[in-house]
Amino acid sequence: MGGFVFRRVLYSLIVVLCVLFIVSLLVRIIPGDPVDVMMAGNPGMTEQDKEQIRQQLGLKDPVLVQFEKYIVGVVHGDLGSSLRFRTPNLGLISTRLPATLELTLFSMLIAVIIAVPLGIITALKQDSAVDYGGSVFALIGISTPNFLLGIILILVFAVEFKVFPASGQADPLYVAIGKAVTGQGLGSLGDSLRHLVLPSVALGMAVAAANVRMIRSSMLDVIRTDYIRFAKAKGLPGRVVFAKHAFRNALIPTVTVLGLQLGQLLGGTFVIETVFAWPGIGRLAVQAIFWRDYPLIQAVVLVTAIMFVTINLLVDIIYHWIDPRIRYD
Amino acid sequence: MNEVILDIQNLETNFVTKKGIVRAVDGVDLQVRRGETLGLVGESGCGKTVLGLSIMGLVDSPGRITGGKILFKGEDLVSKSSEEMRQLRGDRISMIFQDPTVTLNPVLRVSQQLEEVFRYHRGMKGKEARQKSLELLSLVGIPQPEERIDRYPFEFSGGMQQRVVIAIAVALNPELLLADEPTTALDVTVQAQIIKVLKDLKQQKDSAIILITHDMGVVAELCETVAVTYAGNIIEQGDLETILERPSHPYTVGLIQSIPKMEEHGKARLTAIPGTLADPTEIPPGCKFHPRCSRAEEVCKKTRPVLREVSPGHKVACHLD
Ligand SMILES: Nc1ncnc2c1ncn2[C@@H]1O[C@H](COP(=O)(O)OP(=O)(O)OP(=O)(O)O)[C@@H](O)[C@H]1O
Ligand SMILES: [Mg+2]
Repeated sequence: MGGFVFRRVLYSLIVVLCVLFIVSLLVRIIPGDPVDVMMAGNPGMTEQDKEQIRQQLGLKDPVLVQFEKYIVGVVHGDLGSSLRFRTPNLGLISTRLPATLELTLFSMLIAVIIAVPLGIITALKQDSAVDYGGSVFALIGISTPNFLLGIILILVFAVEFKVFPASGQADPLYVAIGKAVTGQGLGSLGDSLRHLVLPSVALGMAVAAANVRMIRSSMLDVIRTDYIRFAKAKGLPGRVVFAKHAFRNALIPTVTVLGLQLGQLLGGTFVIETVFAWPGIGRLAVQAIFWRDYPLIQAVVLVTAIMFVTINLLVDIIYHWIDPRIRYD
Repeated sequence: MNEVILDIQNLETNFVTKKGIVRAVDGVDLQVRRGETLGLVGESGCGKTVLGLSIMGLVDSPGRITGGKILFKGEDLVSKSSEEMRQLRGDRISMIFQDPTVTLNPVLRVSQQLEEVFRYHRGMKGKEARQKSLELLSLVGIPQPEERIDRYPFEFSGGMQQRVVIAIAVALNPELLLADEPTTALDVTVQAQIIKVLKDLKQQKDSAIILITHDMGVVAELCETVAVTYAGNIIEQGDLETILERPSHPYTVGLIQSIPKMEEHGKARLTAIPGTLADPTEIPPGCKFHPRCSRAEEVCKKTRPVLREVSPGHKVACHLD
């Protein structure tokens, strides 16, 4: 196990290094003169200003020198400065990152809470009305684009019925939970959750739907296996056969793709945060693109990529814990 | 002679499929006595596994027991509730399956899979269940059980896994053990070891065993009596010697002849029975075997023969003797 973790961490570092390399060159792949492109719409800028920005972005250096400077900067916590805000990118990102993490994890939670019971029930009641209902749900969930679902949810639940707010974030969840725990009332927590519901559902629906299908089919495979028949032949109570022998095995395929799905959700935040005016890094990235704030785009891409790699690393480790067969390979 | 502990009367188990009703078990009559080892032989698809699962109460939909009785010590298993059957399974009646490499749960340690039998049938936990489990592993010939008990099934060879499966099945000294081709999936040398394990068990426990197999060699090693199945019926039953030496049903005769025999110059000779098993959705009228029977007469095409005793302990379902 230790050796495995070490190897996986090493691979992850290599991937991060590759990402760093690509991101450090991002500014160079802008067609034409990057600084002209970035500064379009800034007519007051002198040639001298532009020259200074070129220096700052390292465009005068050879590729490898630029890369080296970038790495040294990143290692020291310097992700460059935003052209628009004229403040360090790291600060901009770290104030918005918690909102994105909150949204992503909460959608994953909702996706799992929907998918696990629905996947299992549709499998155990194969070909029943519940099963067909589950299939229809999954089909719609998979094929509806998240921004469309978001807009529909806003129209129905915020505009028409006014049960959930249409946009924005209340207290961050951890703050709200802190208040609830320290006896300052549940009001803040309730408000935070109400703001979270619509964007999380819009973001997580596709993942929930995909998981319903996956859990259903792996559960169907598992309940037909010989080891389940043997577990029954041992005279174990039905709940033990289910909880101890079937459930864990049926979840293995889903756990393996959970990392990818978290990545998918993270990607989805770019759109959903924009639709719901959610103050996270997804919305920041979209704004940075509109502003042509390349250093900020660079920084957001880097941070997102590192999160992606970390998530996959964690999932791999969890997977090895769940399925001992690969633990020893 | 010991008393009859299992008395199956006219048992029928059907599967409703798109192609029609599959009569996998179609009127089986079978008796097993305490401590007896009965070999249940017959071609692939003739309903041996389904018969075993019917006794266990483990026929899954679309299958269903549609008629007959399974009297186990006088109590009819067919009419028992699923909770009553659960309590019986793994305790008084056990079953082991063909392929040991898929019978154990791949993500649970061997110890967990053994100990849960004691836990859910006897309420034993912790040290006590573990001690019992270790004893069982030695009983089935697994060396250094203390070192191995906490491993996962995939760390065992196929033969060792089958030993674990057998240990689990006999953990609570069942009165009846159903062994569905316990050696078929194993190498020849390993087969011999598993047969030895079963033989030793027979001496130490007085479970009755129904040994389902294609292999007459295994039957000759282990069984006192033999029942021959054809298309969902028992067509002949008798003690080992009678069946091997004086088979009466033409199908049994063919089956015995199909055992490879060594001739003087060492060449193996195989006499297969011509034809194939009837499609279980389209059962021929009369004797089910008549289309393949070289001695078939008019009566065989019209009336189904019933299983009747031709000499003490020897039963045959055939019009011709
Ligand atoms: N779940 C099922 N659905 C439909 N038909 C089934 C099912 N299980 C078994 N059968 C049918 O029941 C018949 C008997 O099958 P069974 O598995 O008992 O044969 P068997 O004698 O054990 O064969 P083998 O020697 O190959 O194990 C076969 O025709 C089979 O197709
Ligand atoms: Mg079988």
